[in-house]
Amino acid sequence: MTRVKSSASRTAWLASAGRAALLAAAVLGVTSCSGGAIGQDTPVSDGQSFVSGSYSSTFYAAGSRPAAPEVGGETLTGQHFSLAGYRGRVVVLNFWGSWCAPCRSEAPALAALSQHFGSDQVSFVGDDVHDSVIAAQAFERTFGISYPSVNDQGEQVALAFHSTVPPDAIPSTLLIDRSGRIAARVVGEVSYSGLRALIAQVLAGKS
Amino acid sequence: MTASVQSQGSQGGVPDEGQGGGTRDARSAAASGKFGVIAWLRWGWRQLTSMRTALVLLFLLALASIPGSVLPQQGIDPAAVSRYYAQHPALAPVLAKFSGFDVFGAPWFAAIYLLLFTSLAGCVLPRALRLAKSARQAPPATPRHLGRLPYSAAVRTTAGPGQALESAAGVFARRRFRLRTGDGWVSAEKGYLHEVGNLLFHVALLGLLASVALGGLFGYKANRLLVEGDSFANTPTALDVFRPGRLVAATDLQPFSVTLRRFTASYVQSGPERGQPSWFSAALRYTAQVGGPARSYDLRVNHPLNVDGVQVFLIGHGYAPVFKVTDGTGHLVFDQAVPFIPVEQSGLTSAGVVKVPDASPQQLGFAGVFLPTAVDVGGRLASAFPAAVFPRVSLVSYAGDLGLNSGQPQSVYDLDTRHMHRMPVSPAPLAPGQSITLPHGLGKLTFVGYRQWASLAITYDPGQLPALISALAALAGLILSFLVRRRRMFVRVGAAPDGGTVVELGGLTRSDAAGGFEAEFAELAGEIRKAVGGSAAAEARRQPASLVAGTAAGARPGDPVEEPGGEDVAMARKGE
Amino acid sequence: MPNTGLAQLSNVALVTAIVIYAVAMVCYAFDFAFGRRGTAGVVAATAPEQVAAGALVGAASGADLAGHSFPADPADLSQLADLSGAGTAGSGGTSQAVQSPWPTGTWLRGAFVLTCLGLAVQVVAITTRGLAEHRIPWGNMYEFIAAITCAAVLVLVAAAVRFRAYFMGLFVLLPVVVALAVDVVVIYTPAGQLVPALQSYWIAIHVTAMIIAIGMYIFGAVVTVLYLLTAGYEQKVAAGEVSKAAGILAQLPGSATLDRLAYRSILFAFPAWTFAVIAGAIWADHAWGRYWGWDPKETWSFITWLVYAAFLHARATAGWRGRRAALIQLFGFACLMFNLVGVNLWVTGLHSYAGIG
Repeated sequence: MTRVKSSASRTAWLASAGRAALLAAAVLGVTSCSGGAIGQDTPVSDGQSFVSGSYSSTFYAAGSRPAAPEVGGETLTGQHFSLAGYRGRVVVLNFWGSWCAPCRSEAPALAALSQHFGSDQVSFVGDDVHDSVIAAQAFERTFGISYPSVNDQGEQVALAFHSTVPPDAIPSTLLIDRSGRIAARVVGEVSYSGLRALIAQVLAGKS
Repeated sequence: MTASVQSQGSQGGVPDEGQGGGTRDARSAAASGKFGVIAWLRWGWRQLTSMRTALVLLFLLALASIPGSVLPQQGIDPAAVSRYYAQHPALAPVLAKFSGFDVFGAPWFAAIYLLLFTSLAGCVLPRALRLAKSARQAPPATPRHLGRLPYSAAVRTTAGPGQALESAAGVFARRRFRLRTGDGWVSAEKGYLHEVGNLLFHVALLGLLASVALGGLFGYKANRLLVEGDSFANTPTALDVFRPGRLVAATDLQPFSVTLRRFTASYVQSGPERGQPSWFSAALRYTAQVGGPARSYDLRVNHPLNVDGVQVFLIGHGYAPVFKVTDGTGHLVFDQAVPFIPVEQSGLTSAGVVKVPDASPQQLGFAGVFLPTAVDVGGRLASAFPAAVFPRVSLVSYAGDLGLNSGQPQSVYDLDTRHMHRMPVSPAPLAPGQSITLPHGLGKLTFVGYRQWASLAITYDPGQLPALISALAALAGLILSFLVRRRRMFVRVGAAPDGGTVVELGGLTRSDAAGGFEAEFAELAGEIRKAVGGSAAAEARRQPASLVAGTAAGARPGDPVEEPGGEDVAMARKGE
Repeated sequence: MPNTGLAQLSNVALVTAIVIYAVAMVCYAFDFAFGRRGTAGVVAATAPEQVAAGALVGAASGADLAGHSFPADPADLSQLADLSGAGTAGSGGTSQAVQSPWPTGTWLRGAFVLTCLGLAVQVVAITTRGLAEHRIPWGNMYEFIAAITCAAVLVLVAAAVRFRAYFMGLFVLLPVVVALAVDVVVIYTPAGQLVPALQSYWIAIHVTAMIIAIGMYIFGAVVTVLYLLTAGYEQKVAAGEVSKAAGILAQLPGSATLDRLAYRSILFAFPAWTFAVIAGAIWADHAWGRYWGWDPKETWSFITWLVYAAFLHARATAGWRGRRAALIQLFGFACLMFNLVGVNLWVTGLHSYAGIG
């Protein structure tokens, strides 16, 4: 076998490797610009063994609100619940679990806000997912939650929103206006002032 | 000198690669007086699409994959990554900066395979065009000296030259060669499927990449651990792990629901494989749509559930002991099954944590193990068999602040005891029905019994089917290009010195990957001899050549050469 | 419950196969030492001689070929001839060369018969193991090594008959015997069931394809090692350093033939490996929900595939053929061995079915 290793061929070889490296660097610059705003908004798991979202808040203008689905079920105390029965009032639908740390952190704010607004104007409803009734009731006792929560262990109420404005994580809060349309969604822990402002905004709106 | 280099380049099958191309560019650029960006870009492009670059990139990609198999990867085993951080506290952050724990998603890894595919595309597309063009062209003229070809033979016949030529041509036509006739000669060619197969293989690889991208953009993967009796719906609120593709939103999730009615596991009872699982079965009930009809399904390993385009797989199982906790005020504050995670496979000893955040006056936490078949091994507890023959639970008790109220998300399998104090209660194993009574009236925990859990993987990948098709197409192309050889046969007739006609045959093969052209040539020679009614003037001859680096005259190192089964740039470049 | 009688038979058969292979190896060695070489075997990479029986019109002598600059004939491009096997001796061969496909020489014949016998016994060992367990007999490392060594010997026998590569016997059987000995002594696992993850018809497709491909890769690697040794030896001969008749290497076919044979092995092995990887991906999707997850074994299969692909590309690049390509192939084989052994023993992943430790 001819083993002619001319210096010229070695140079050519190095040159090609060098070009490849340069092009690689160029591509690297492009690929590292991670785009995908949608991807960023969708919460992903972070090894916590439940999907917790980073905070995001979306408000839907009056004309472009999707209708909330007809959801119903049983509350933690065994009573019947139907979202349709809340027409005429703003509904704050909060998805929570007693095991979920951010839910526990926002619970005082929710409890306080539920007292702040008159129940003829704003109704708070919880949706307890992936939990146990006993633990959920203990949670309500701890934080003084007096508004009802749906016993939604199989996430059917959450599922009902899948084609409109799904609760993207635990905790999530949906605001439904007086006509039964979804006015806002908060993914992540709510703050007292933030949620109050949001409720006021929905209250002040046309419908 | 210049003239001879260029003329050799144009005829000897020497491609404009490496030095050759660069030199020619440099010369022409020097001649025109400028050495502009275009020339550099063209040179760079030629470098990228050269065989050598392909070789380098293939090696680079292989090399780059190695750390991804040696270091723990975040996407595969996050727990192993955490362990690595714990074991190598100084090295781990450095590695993380270079995406050491996410090698296959790293930008540098992407750069390598993107470059490789660019090189591939840049080489394949022009070749495809050339193939289309050459498929329309006629075969080349028969060379003058057929004896110089690697395969040659001669036949003497009494038939006239014209007749002999026709008969020879007839032999080729019957075997579906493409023919071209000239004055006293016939040239035949066959075997384009070789290049077709070659191109199909490489294009299919591009298709594979596109399919992977499709899945990465629009697909998602999720996990959910489900205890017997529980249900879940395919929404982010219900999933333990949710890894969406870049363009996936929560509204894209298919709205199915699943209930785990019952999980059964069977284990080998005796013999050398005692304790090894025999089979698993998860009896499911599911609905594909909200409010749709419920169906039953027996989910097993290697037997996934297909619902609404999504696949659900059984990937793990374990035990979930059931606990009841009464707090200091006498309220029942906890009554549920808690999944414990197996820490070893032979006895399924499982570890877990019970958190009771709504116990009063202090939050309670318990951490310990569940032993399906508890035995005492020299003072230590172990599980002798994975079935729950003799279930026991051993827990350490804590009271204090679990840290949940702060809002910082915690893993449900980890107990943060930084703000808790351990209770002086013996972690003696509890049988079902037994309790731990905590001191200072803090409460009582009862081990009620156990259930089993199954963990499900939910995957949606729209690129799955295209990937399969691409892979199979690549395989087909590969086999085709290895099996088919591109060959040319030439026949020349001339008058024999002592009357009669001499029919010369010559054969040439370019891609004799699987071998066998010798046999085919012999067959053709025999048929032609029969057709022209002659006798052999000379035995069919084969000229083995020296395999000295396979260089054609004038070829330089780095240039592609014709190789049976290999790339055929030289030939393609000549526009044949 | 596995049938212990059949399982015992399987163990005995496998050990017997090892013994038969060892005896065959001795016979191969004797063939090299005492067998008459004759014309069967040596094809040095030198210019061929021309066959008589009439000159072809305008024929040039074969010696023109090396380094000859051709006239402007666009069709005069191919430099390579088909070197199928060592039997076509340095006489430039006739295309209708009437060569018996069977080996010549008593020792070689005996060795080959023993090889085939050993293969048959090994097949019996594997089959009885499968019958004992009521399943396909490749479910753990012990069975897998038994299977791939069987595949390697099968490839040896096939190549020997098809390409007259009987000389390969000694060199292929050596690693086979060593691997089987280690397998039986160290890796042995008693007959048993498959874990649920492996209970699928895909084991017959994916793992079988892997075994066949690995058998071919083993053969190719052994040939490549021989090629490198022979090429080095030929260089020394050309430089006049060693006497022509010395040692085993002088009795092997020339490096050109070996190179060709190694290349042929990979041409068969590479599509088989590609298919095996694809089948594995389909099974993975069926069992775990994703067709590719960069599991260590998947990753190393990919690496192996890439390196062998690099080998095929190297064969088509001037300056990279011959020794460099051979080294690439050996590197690919090293990756394959790591995939087989290293990944199973040292790196855990979804593929840890070795049944060891």
